[in-house]
Amino acid sequence: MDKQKNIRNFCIIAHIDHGKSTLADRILEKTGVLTAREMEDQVLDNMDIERERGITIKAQSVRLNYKAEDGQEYVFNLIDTPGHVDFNYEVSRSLAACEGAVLVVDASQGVEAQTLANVYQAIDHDLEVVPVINKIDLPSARPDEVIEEIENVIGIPAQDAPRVSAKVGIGIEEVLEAVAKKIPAPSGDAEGPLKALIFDSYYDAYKGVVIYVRVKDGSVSRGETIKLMSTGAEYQITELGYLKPGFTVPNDALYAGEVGYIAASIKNIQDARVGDTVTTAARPAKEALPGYKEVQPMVFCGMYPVDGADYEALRDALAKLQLNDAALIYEPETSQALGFGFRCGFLGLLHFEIVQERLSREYELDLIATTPSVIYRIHKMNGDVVVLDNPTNMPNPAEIDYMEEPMVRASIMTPTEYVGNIMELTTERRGTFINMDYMEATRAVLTYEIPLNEVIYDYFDALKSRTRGYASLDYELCGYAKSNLVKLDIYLNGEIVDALSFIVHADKAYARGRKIAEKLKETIPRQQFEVPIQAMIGGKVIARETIRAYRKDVLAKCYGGDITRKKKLLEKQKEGKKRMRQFGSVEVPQEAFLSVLKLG
Amino acid sequence: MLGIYVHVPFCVKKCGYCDFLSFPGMENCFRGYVKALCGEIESRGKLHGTEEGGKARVDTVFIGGGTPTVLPAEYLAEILGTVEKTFDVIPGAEITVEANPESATFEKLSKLREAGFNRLSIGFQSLSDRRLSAIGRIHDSKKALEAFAAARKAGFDNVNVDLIFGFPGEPEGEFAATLEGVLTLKPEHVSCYSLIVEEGTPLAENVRSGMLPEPDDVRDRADYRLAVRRLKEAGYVHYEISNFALPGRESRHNLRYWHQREYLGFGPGASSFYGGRRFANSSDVERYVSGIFETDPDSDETMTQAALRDEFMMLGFRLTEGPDFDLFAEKFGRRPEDYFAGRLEKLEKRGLIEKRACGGRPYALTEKGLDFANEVFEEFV
Repeated sequence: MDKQKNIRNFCIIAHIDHGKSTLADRILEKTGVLTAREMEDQVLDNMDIERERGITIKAQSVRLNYKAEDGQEYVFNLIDTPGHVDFNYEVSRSLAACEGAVLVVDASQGVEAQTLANVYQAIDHDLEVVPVINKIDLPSARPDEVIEEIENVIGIPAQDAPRVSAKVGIGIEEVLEAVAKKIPAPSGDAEGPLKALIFDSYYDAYKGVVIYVRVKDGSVSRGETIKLMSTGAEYQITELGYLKPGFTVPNDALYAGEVGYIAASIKNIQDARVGDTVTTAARPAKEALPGYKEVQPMVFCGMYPVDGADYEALRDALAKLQLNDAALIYEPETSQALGFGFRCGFLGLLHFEIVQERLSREYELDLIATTPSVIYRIHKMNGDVVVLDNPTNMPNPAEIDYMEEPMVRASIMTPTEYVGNIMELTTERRGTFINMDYMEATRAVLTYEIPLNEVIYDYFDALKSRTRGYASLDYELCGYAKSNLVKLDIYLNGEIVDALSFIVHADKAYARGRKIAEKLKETIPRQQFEVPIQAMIGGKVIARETIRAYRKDVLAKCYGGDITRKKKLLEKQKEGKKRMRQFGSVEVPQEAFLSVLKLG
Repeated sequence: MLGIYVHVPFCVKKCGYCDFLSFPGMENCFRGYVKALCGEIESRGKLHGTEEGGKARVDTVFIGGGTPTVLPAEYLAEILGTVEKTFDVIPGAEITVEANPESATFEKLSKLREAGFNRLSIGFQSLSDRRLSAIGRIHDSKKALEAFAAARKAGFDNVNVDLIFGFPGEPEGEFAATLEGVLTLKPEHVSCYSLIVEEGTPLAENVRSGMLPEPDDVRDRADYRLAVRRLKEAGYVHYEISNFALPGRESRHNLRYWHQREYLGFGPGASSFYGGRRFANSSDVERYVSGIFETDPDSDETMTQAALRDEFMMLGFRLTEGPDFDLFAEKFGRRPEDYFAGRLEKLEKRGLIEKRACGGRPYALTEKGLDFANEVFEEFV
């Protein structure tokens, strides 16, 4: 009998905030994995940060049982995917493990920039796309128009798309039926040699690296020796089974078409790369599955432990994070100002913030991050081309012929009333207008080429605020362009702080330099001596501020009643100093770095 | 031996810089308050008797506030009487009461002296009328001088004068004039406090909003150095960061705090240090007056030996002669060098403390250390 016949592997794709995670939760509830009472809201978003920010960062997957109207028992493997533009790569990882995708579209917002981007990705992966109209309970819902929009803009049939409200619980049954009926069953070679795709992994202190796999061909059992095809490393399976929300269910074997986990005491994190193919040592597959799109980090910055003794801990933490965050890359570097740390690459500023937050929450590391940078290309007079991701390494300006910076092609979808605002903002950010299409009378898609450098700071936030949250953004790298760039250095008390150097367009250097000097003056506490802050370009001072010296730091009164209170005060003051870094003779708090970084 | 602190959380008017527990305009509470206070002293006092059923010995008593002298002299006498009934206050004990000029009349002070108080601490703060009115004091310099004369006449031969310098917008020379004025009075003790802008006070609010300039710390330090120099010249010993006394007239009660000796505090918000534990009464005056005595659970700190050792050093460095290493050894069995050699060396290198010839008190704050004493204290928290 064909075991694969009743398996449905699917993911849910949507623009951010269109209700993907809520729908996933309802599906879990309906299929009896959890009762409504047991559910914590948004079960699949199980990182604290995800719940707090209301976004999905990590792909999660879960196995469900569903008895359909046709009387048959189905096994559903649902893979939740992230929605933010920074996390497109996670989407691609999830897609590779599926045969279909449920496309959630908000009944009042309609098709958004990311809806399109996600759908095209799904289609690239040959997935069957099943549209679902969500949030029909909202007074502003206009499901008929949105269905039209899906058909016209995306070009997939949507007349019989289930109309649901995940929040209220309307129409969930129809979604499950559509999954069973429309999404094809897996069609792997059940008897062939094992081919399983690693689509995620995490580190467990007891089991070692646990990998999440989608078995394409063949099968695998507990006790068998597996082989990871890219490295050739072999491990004996200690445990395998299915994934449930927040826990695992051990089983004896995984078969073609199934999704599950494998633990094999894999200690070396590098051996279990997402995208790799697992086969068996006894009967290895001839060739690996096509891996999926390598993700290229676009934003780089240095990360340093506040306490130098935490360097090793930071290294371990990064290794563990990288395990289920394939887009994170890092390598050791040293800074004169900050000591030993790592140069890390991220997909965008949100990704960077998430990693920083996870390092601090999950690994309790106190970190200082340097100003983020993109990758510049420097063409030297002698014809050499230098690829620069760390402003500190910028060659002497005299040796530079010209510089290039990475550009992105950005699609901004917006109600037409905000077009003016967006144009103004994007021009400020050095964007070049390419064209504008009307999706319907009141909605347009603007296409711009913008330097990535301008996008990575707070472009997305600025866009949201100038369009009252209505505009949506998607972008992809589209090459390099020649640009008039300069390196801006910050000097404290006459000494350069390499960690604060950054590369900026010449037209913006003065304004940025001034803002940074002002911000540093606010955030660096007064020292026992006067501290000049200077922003310089190639030895020329473009902005200057001075931090006044403080002349006393003494509690004048300390009697019986004060002792406990004053001790607490001193402890707080001392704690604050621990979070500071010594630059020459100046103490700079971590907040100063963060505040500069937020300036954009 | 114990010290007793009694808190009077009342004043005529709250000053803009004050963050002490004190409330103006509660005259109708006074009777009830004193009754509750005596009740607390009696009931807690019983816990501190000797094993043989004797009373605990006490060598310093301090009634502070607020402004204790807003209470009628009889009430203060009653409080002291209760302390003396409950504890064995030894002959020659130092018994201090705080007073503000406006409430320190000759009549009242005479009664207090008669009741057994032998030390008076008067809150001058300044002798500049402009300053006094600017900071919301209700007395003027004339009242202050009168209060001092009244204290002498009433028989107080141990008087402290409290001064504050470093007010925002204080003109140059103003504090110097106050200081000279005080010197002519020849008080036995002078406290000179560098103003601290305490969070939550109207003063802090006015500085934040820009109504008042930030205190000028260059001026502040100049005034501090002036006080140290002028008072030394006049024969005062600079014995603690902010305190000066004629030889032998150091405040014994306050020295108790800096030597980490035990004391019991009575009244709302009052702190105690007893049996290695620091704790404070709850600050709710109304509940207190209704006879409910509670420890503030947040304040309760049972200290480890290590914490006590650190704290001993922190408090000891407030004294200009430095922490008493012999006393430390007596308390903790080993000398501070055994625990703190590295930290002491580090502080010495930073120029904050220096070696002294005295064997029992080998380290003390330098001149720089007096300005940046918190950096020394931070090593011991």
